[in-house]
Amino acid sequence: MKKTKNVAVITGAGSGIGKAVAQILAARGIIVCIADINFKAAEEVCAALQKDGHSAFAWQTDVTDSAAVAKTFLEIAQKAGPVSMLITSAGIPGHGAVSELSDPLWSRVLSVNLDGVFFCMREALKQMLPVRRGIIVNISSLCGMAGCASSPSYSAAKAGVIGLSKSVARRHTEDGIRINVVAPGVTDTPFVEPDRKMGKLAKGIEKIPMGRMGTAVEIAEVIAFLCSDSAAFMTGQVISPNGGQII
Amino acid sequence: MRNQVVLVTGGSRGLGAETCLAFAEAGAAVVLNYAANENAAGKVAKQIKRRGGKVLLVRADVSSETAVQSMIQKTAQHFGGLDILVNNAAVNSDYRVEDMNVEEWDRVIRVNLRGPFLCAKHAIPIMRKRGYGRIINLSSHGVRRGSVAHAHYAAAKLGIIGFTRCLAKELGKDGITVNAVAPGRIMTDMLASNLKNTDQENARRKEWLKETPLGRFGLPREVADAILFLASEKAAYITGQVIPVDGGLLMR
Repeated sequence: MKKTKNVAVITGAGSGIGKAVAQILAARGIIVCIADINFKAAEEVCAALQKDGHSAFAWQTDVTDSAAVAKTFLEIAQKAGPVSMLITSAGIPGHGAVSELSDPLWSRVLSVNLDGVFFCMREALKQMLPVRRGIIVNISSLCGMAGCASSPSYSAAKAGVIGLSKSVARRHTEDGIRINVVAPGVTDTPFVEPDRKMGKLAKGIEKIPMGRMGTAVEIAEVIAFLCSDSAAFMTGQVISPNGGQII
Repeated sequence: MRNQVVLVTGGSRGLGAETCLAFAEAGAAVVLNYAANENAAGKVAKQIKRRGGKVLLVRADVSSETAVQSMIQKTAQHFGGLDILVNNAAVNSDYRVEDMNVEEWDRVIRVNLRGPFLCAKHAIPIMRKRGYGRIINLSSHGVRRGSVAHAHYAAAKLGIIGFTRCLAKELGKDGITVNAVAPGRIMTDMLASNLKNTDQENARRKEWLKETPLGRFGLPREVADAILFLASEKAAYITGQVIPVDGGLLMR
């Protein structure tokens, strides 16, 4: 009997956590669609996966552009099949104290980190709901759960992702959708370059009980677990791999 | 999980039994602890052996320090070490606070809170030597919103979360993670036999299912799967956390 295929859309999978998720899911036989604003990066990840015999496709997508997101999801449905999994890894940092934060910078951070998640979820749900089948994992942050002195705009957006995800869980779990959130602590990816440049990274790491950052793979494994049947009774949850930072 | 040794307390039935089976399936050597139900424990062990797994039965009251010390010694001698501890053994009863004897309060706190403490205390030196360990404590969904006639149980099951957080911080740099799993309403044999086919019980069952977004009871295997994930090397960066497995019953 043919097993129902799984088509996973992973935003921001050209690098970091998204890339690691793509690699783990592809190894499970899931068709991965890598949507990244950096097409070159998306293509490179895709090529490497195809070389290993996996099914992978690359798209150039700006998640802040709702029409572009809609177009991407339609093309994915045509090329790979109806979307059954969504992992939203696309994000940008958002440093800057509230009293000094400009309108454009605030909007930009909310646009990528929250609007982008909303647009992708909307398009994914359009394909998932009719077949009553779908798994979504959104990536928030410890900052979204507890606030973050250096990044209030980022924290606001990431907290928004949690509220959005729980709402969808409350509304659509009965429709066959299973949605959870992973809220990492500090992860060793290009994402923390700004912190590193500002010289803030080392001090932050000292405060972590494990004394180190998480790796992209460690965070990706949690996401992959939530995407699996082993997590079939988990929905609406926020899981935080953060090296022991209790908040 | 080949070459890994797991100790599951309260492994003779329910979640504990399913957890033992799951670990054995994954290739781990299982130490199945039970307090009294030798028959049931034996059946689970037989199942494990039939499927080609390794299992050691150890009878011990987890609230007794000497019994726990002896159990962990036996584990180390028999299997050469201890990598994973699942503090699952628990007792419960129904008493409103003003009707509850102090002996009953103590009994539930002893098994459900002191037991995990003792097991962790004596497991840690072995885990630290290997620079690797996993401690998984069973909490419960009921602690969040309170549950009538279970104040002793909830005190222990919420207390175990505080214990989990502190221990996680203590062991942060030792390669040992400490987490809690909070199951929702899981259909175990015990629950099935408790839910009699009366109008009141059926109405209660209906209410429970309405409260759970997934609209069903959980399977013991689904809780075991979460425990197995936390116990794996893949979950190395998760510590001090509470993982709910409750069909969306609580979303915090």
